[in-house]
Amino acid sequence: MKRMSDKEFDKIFKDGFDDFSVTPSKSLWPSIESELANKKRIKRFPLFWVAAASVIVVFITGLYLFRPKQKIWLHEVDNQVVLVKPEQKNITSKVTDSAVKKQKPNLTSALNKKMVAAPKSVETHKKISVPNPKPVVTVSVIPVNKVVAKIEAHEKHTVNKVAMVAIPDQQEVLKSALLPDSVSQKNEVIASRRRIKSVGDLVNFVVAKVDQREDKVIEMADNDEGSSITGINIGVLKIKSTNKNNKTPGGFTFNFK
Amino acid sequence: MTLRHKLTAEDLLEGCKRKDRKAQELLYQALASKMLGVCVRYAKDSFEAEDILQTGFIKVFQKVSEFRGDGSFEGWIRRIMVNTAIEVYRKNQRSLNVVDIDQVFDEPQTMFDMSGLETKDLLKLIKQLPGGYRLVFNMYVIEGYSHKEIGEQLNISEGASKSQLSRARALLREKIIKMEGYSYETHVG
Repeated sequence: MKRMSDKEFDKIFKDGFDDFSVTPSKSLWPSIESELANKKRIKRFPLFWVAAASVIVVFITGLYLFRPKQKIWLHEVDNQVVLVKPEQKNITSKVTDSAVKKQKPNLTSALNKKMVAAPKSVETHKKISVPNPKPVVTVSVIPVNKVVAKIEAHEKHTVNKVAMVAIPDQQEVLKSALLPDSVSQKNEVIASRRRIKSVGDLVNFVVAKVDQREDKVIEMADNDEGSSITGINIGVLKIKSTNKNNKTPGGFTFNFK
Repeated sequence: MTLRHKLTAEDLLEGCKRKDRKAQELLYQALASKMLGVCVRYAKDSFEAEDILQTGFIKVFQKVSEFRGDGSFEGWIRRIMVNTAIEVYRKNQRSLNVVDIDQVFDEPQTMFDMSGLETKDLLKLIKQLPGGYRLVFNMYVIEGYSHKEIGEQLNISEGASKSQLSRARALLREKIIKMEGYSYETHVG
């Protein structure tokens, strides 16, 4: 028994633990090793995502670049203007028909086409000479549609105009004959002018700008609960709601190519 | 013998800096038991001690390139273990039981015999200390940190560190007296 200072007291503990060791369980190193390996794997993750992202980017670019050529035509706005101009000069179907034919293979500058188209229109004007005021009215309807019209529709127009020439007096009949074609076009005009009210509208608008197919990559519609996807078309896989007006996305058709 | 040991330690350090798995394993095998001996003093049980050891070694392998060679490699690893123990303690406990310096009573200079105490008894005593006291006592008495260092590490004042240490000593003394008294009685009886 003796009086003990703090220093002495501490020394007993310090000396006691000086060479103190406890053997760890054997499973500890394997778990350290696996943790070290895991840390390395985590570091690699970003690279994996970069790779995945670039594959997706390449895939989408590929889809965009290798679309059917028809759709690319739509960007030729000049072409359409050229088409409209001769028509406004009160030219009959044959002229536009030939103009269309000339312009389809020839995708050079619009000015050249004007040069080609203009003299022809004058000539045909003289030759055929159908200065009927009524076709003027009907034709003037067409340009309105034409603003957004698809190039695929040109052939249909020419058919209509042939009909125009055949029955130039019956303007009412002509208008009704024009209807089936123009309805879809008018709808498009309306659709593009419609206000964007929802996310679905925005998606549809943007998609419509990029994807010109009838079945868009993605189509959305509004219902009570908000916007929902009514159609998907990624080439190989097509899904489309069968009844667009149905509020619940019930019937879907699946198409696998 | 000493020379050979030094050489291998040097080799292991270089190997660990290259993230060589074999060198890492050899370093672990060389120091694991000793470091677990450190960890058990801080941990509340052996499970937590091994948890500290594992986390500590992971840190050692990750930060080995930061070791500049001031002091021994082993001492550096030991510090990492202590730091890890503090982190684990912080994670498991919301705050340190800080005792203000005024609250520390003057403990009587008790008289007792400690010669019969083995290390496992000392460990038992330390483990009975409340967490905050245990940290400060370990760091000051066994690791040899100054109160200033302890204050910085635990984010407490130097005075708080001192008071915790006094309180820890007092508690340990009380416990030893009880043990002594118990063994004395059993001897007599």
